[in-house]
Amino acid sequence: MNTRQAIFLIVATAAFAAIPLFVSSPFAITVLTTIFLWTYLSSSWNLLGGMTGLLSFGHAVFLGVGAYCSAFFFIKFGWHPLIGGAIGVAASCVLGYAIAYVSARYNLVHLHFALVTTAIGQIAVFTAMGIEIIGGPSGISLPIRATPAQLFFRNPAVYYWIFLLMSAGVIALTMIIRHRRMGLYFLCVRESEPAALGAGIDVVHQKLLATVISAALTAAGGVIYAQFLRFLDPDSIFSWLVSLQMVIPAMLGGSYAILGPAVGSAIFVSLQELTRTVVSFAGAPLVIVGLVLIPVVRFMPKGLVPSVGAVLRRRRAKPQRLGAASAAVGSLTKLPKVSHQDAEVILRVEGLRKRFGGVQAIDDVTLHCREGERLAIIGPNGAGKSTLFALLGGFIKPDSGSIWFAGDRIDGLGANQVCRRGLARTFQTAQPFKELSVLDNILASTFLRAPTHRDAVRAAHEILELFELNNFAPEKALDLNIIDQKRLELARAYATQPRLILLDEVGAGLTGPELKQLITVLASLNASHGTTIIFIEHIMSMVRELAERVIVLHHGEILAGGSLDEISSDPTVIRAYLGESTLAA
Amino acid sequence: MLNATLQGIVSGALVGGMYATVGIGLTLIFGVVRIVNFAHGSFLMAAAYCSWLLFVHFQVDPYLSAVIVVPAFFLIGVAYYWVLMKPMVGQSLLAQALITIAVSYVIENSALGMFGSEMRVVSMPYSILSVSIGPIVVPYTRLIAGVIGLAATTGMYLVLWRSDIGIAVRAGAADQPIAEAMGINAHATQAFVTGISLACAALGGVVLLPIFAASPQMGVDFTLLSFLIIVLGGMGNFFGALVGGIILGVTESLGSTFFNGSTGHMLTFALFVILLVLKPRGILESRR
Repeated sequence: MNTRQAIFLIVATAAFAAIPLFVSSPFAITVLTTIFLWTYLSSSWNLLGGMTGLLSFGHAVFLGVGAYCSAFFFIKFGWHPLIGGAIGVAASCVLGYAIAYVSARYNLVHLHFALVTTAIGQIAVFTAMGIEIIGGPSGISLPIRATPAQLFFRNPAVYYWIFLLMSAGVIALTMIIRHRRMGLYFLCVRESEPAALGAGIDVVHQKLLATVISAALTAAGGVIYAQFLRFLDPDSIFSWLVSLQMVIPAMLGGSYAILGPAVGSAIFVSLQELTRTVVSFAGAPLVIVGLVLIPVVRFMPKGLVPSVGAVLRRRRAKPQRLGAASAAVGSLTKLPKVSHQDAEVILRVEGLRKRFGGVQAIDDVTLHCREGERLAIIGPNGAGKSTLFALLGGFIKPDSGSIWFAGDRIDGLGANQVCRRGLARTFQTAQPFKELSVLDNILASTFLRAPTHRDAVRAAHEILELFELNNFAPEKALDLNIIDQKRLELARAYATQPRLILLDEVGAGLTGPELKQLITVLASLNASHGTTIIFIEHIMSMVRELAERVIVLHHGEILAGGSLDEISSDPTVIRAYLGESTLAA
Repeated sequence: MLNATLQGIVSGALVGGMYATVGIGLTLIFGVVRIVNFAHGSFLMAAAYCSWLLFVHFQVDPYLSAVIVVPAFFLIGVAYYWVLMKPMVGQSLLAQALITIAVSYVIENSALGMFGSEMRVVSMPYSILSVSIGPIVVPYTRLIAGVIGLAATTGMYLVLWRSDIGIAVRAGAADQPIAEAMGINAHATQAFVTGISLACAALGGVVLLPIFAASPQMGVDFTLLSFLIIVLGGMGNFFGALVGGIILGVTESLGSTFFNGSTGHMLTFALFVILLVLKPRGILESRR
């Protein structure tokens, strides 16, 4: 959270807090209270749904657990609502942890997560109906004899102030999280899980964290909600409609925007309340909500706040762009002819095998790579090169064989752990975090090694400089052209400060000068930082200039290895590339 | 005990045949148009009310009203595709889910406003008749549901696997850009599929009305039920939906025989969660 945001939030909260002093209409206060209630709940939902992209359609469960625990312990044992509430929040955390753990463990994303949470919501409804001690289907009431110390206020404005403060609190929390490593990691999980793993981010951990925070906040909301409603029944607390009421404001306002849920709630609640005063038709408020939501989603699929923001941004002049080709092409540094033959072996692969259905993608591959070496892997399409990289990077698990990196066995480790140990990769088709700025894309990687936030930002700027991406720093990665996206991909991998970097066809599609520039950058990384490079490439000129040693992969097996000259005179290699007749001719 | 079980299985399987038709409708949109339609059950509910209105005002036999209601919903489906589905293709799941949820809000709450929340029943002289097969008593309405459900799934099978448009639909489902490059009009086939999907929902609404009765709550119930079916069968899998529908019909029927209503429902959803986690591609997955 920066100072401007903090001041804005404080001023806005103060202004809203003053409203009950001037407005005495109970109706207006009720509407405002409801707006901030849903602002709070929707913002809490958005910490999970908007930031990590895990669409929970069952957040009413957390709300309900908080509300029911607080009410139950108060009524049955006379415990203070906050004590029961604390139990509820704790229970929600445990439940959220369990749901997130199972989902992450079995990789339930997208629709599957939405359906699982929907079903859990339904289970909660029927469970609550079956438990007589909490009133079963008919529900429970909180005693009206309670005192203000027990959170029962006869002045409705007090609930308004509570929900207002809670909303301000959760928005401030969102702002703080967003500007820290945690928030950036959440967004990375949303944008691309493979890329997040590739940047060394523990995706499972981020999902657990986001779910537990969101569940706890929602349950805390439920505690106050119970005091506000004074009557709880399974249908009005646990039902799917309640879960959707947290999702809809976020969507209306824009789930990518911090203030989106607040704006959405204001519209969502006022629409319903206004309709209610005008027409007496039973379902009218939600019909109107539906009718408004349809065009909003249809024409502004990202929600109101980001869409309006985009229009405003378009008015501002676009920054001057420097084409990649126009950038000065550095003179090719002569590669040092140091032999790495005596250097330590940094990567050793033994008897690696991987089968996909009927295809033996990798068949008994054994290879090694020495510290500081520049090793090219070539081979026809479908030879298993990218599969080999995926195995090395920990993105898929081998059927058998072992991978040793810097003395440790790394097969079986997750991709993020492999990255932490200093083995980074790029993807053949660039996998940037599309909706994030170029700077954030790099920051996601530099956070891995930087001790403080400031160090990470400084490192990110250095990387931007090195890869000549400074002009694009504020742009969304999505808006870069393919070549710049590839450069970003390389920059992201490099920003994790790897000892060994795996490059998957980074040269493909580049023009001559661009290729030269790329080779220069790679060569200088190798020379100055001693970064070991293993690269897959079809462009032979790049292989000739950069590679010390070449390995040919064919049908998942290593066909030959050695210098490019040795390889290119090997008959088996020629046969694999060009077919039998070439040799006969 | 044995009789009750047998009775439960038979009457559940018959209704399950109709569930399968409804589920196939949802799975078709998901597999071909690649949009999740959370309004599926609402269309079913709307069709059930249409059938009820025709019965109340014009004394049209509920089954006969299918002749009007089902084609009408096919046309609504085509329009639904062009107006709302097509622009949402490729949008985020959240946007897709919410636009269809918004549609369901409009339909369900309009029904609530117009007809109230009470159950609307159609009672025909044959509603209470039943046929005995050995120890098992099968009401006519369930028998009819089973027969129509089976006929509808067979019909759809023939259209999708034995006709030109079926090849176009399946090609579009497998890889839309390639299908388009091969000269298939993807939008026309997708509009057709959306129409079929809503027609399935409408058929379900009409045929199940004499068994269950129409109420606004029916919409959400059947949307969730359809999701249960297609998750059981594997999302986008035609035959899976058939199996899923029958399994669900039987489970529900046995559940209400041996447990009280809410426990039965809870167990169904618990099963749903376990299946989603352990068999995300449906129960037929391992056999393929």
